[in-house]
Amino acid sequence: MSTNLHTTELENKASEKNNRRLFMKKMVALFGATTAAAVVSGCSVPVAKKFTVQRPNPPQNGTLFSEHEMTVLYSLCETILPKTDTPSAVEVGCHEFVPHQLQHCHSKQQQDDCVQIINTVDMRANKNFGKTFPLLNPQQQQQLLADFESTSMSTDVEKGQFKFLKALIAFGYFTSEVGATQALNYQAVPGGFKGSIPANSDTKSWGSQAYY
Amino acid sequence: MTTDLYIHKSDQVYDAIVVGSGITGGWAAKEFCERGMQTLMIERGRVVEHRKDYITEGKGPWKFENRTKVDNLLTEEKYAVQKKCYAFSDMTKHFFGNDKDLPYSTEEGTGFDWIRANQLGGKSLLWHRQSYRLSDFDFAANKADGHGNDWPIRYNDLESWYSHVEKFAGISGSEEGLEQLPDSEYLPPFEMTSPELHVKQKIEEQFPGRHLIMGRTAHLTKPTQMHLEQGRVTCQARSECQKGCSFGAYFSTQSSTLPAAAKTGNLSIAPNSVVHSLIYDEKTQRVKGVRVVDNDDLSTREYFAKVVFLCASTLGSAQIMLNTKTKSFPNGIANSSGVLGHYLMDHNYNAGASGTVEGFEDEYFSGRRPGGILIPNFQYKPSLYKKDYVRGYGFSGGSYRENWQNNAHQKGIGADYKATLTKLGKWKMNLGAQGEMLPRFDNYMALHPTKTDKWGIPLIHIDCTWSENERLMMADAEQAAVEMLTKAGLTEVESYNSVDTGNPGLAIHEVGTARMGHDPKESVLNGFNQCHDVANLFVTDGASFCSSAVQNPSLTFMAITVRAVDYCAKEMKAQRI
Repeated sequence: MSTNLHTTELENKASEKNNRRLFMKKMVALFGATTAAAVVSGCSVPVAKKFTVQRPNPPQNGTLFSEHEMTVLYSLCETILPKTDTPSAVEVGCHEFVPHQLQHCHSKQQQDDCVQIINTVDMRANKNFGKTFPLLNPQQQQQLLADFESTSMSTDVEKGQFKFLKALIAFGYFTSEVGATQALNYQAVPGGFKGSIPANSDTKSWGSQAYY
Repeated sequence: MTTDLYIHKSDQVYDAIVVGSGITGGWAAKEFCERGMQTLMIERGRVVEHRKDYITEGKGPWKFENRTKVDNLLTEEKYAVQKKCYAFSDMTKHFFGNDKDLPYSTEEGTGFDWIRANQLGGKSLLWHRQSYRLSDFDFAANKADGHGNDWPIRYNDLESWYSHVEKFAGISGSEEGLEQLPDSEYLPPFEMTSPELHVKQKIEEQFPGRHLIMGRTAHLTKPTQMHLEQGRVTCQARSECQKGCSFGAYFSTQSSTLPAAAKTGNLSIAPNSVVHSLIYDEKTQRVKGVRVVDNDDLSTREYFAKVVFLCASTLGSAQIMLNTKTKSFPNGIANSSGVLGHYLMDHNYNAGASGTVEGFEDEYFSGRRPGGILIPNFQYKPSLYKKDYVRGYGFSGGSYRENWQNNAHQKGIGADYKATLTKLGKWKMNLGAQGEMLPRFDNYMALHPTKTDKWGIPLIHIDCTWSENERLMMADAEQAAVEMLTKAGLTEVESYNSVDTGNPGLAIHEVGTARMGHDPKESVLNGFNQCHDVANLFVTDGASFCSSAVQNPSLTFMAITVRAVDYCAKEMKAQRI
């Protein structure tokens, strides 16, 4: 048991290091080196003492999310729809799609809900693991979100906010070219309608819709 | 199509002016042109060329910055009403009217959602393509139960004209032999899915008198020589019709009637020409033509003809007539009866239900069927009415398998969640009521006493609400939908009734503002859509309806229009007009 535990700890440390390295890489890609360093060093992420939504560094330039919130959103996208045999939500740009879509096609309330839920999830990460959400390892991220939507860790309002954000990420993913044509089966010109074709548990859903 | 098809100014006295270029106007123009008559089609909006101007056709959602959703600011500014239409999106918004430029008012405490499509082709580009004949029960309904006035026509009067338009337009459907929904001239029907066939069998077994049939749509499932000659080919089941269809697979002015009219060499089109009013000659008691305000530069001009056909939509045609005030007609031309603008109706689409069809996991469908199933009205005569209200309703609906759009809200994080969203979910089936609305004098449109639009035309003011009859009907329809789905074995059945919040107008089946009738004292038009008061003025769009029935009205717009043209042409030849 102890050996196993030891191994696991080591693995965790290794994966955490990798995770951190990967995270840095992504942050640099997103915001440039200086900001990324500031985010990762923790100076822009004070540990939340209470479960009230705080915005450590509210955005200045009219954008919906602060740079830190963007890093959390980025990790949420990666965790909710990860890379499998098809690209991840991040690879198709869902982290950029979400703020764009919120600002152009959604209500102020929905925008505020998303800002809140991103900060709420991050505070849970800080409380449970002592780290900002993006710095958790993938297992921790997945577990935290699974618990968040299923247990008393979150309120009903928070669950609703999370559900909305998750669905928006899914909308961004499955209306992207990759999502619609690779993750799903896209029929641009079906050639006619057949009322019955064989299907099984592996059959992909149509990615082409009359209305979205 | 040649460019000299389009005119700007003209002193010519045409044989016929057709105001409007939608489903009705397209048919009127084609029929006049094919009878060798010089015809001017007047359209208030811009030209939309078949194929060339279908700018979003074939584009996937990723090609749109907001993934087919319309920007909030744009919606607020220009599309506050149009956005309520199911077909309104970033892919189709260029074919919808601009609410900012096209204001109208509604009586305080009431609402009416007026969906508009002011361009060449009008709503024929955007319509839902459902095509059903009215039956003798529909034409007799007002007389039978005393609501509204008696239609001056019966099914026999229209039967051959239905056939005429159906063969040309191309209507897919199945022979059913139902007395409440006469069969059309059909192209093959679209297929049902297995769950639909299953539900059909269960409902027909357990509810004698109710039928579940394939919807009848103006789609070329198997084009005839006549359709190929129009330049139209087989429907590809994209169901993206409202973007425009270069296959010409659904009937529209652009795909069908306009090329036929243009081919005769007798057609001219005046686009960007907003008809302000009709020019009336007190001496001859005839209309001479129309006054037009230019859509773009607001300059004015006139066009002249021997006869005028108003095909400008139910509200549009009545607006033009109400705005034509003359010495003989101080309250609007041909309005000696005082009913012009009154008896406005729509269909009531405010109740329904959906549920899960168990089983059929090893089946899917292929293609996007442009339409669904139909349960025809089963309360189509007084002996079948419910105790507490009159008339009836049908249902439209269909089945589908749940996908990411339905399941994105479900619990799940990571690879499993992603996999679930890419796979097939449960089979679902829904039914949505299509209820008849009674003709009532109190439901009306009038001209606003003070406000005008940018063309100087008085705004339309609408006061139209659901009556108790429609409320009771929707409550019953909700129950009926639940009962049928439940007895068909569906689970997780959920229902809705939105009659308290859903405004009239949104079924986009507005009819009845210049109704036909035997008696000039209580109707505007005779049985040939000719004004009782003005012999060379015809109204052949939905304004002429005496009752709404439950069927989608467009096919009847077509049939009454071609019948009216035939009558008018003969009257002109006999020099009675």
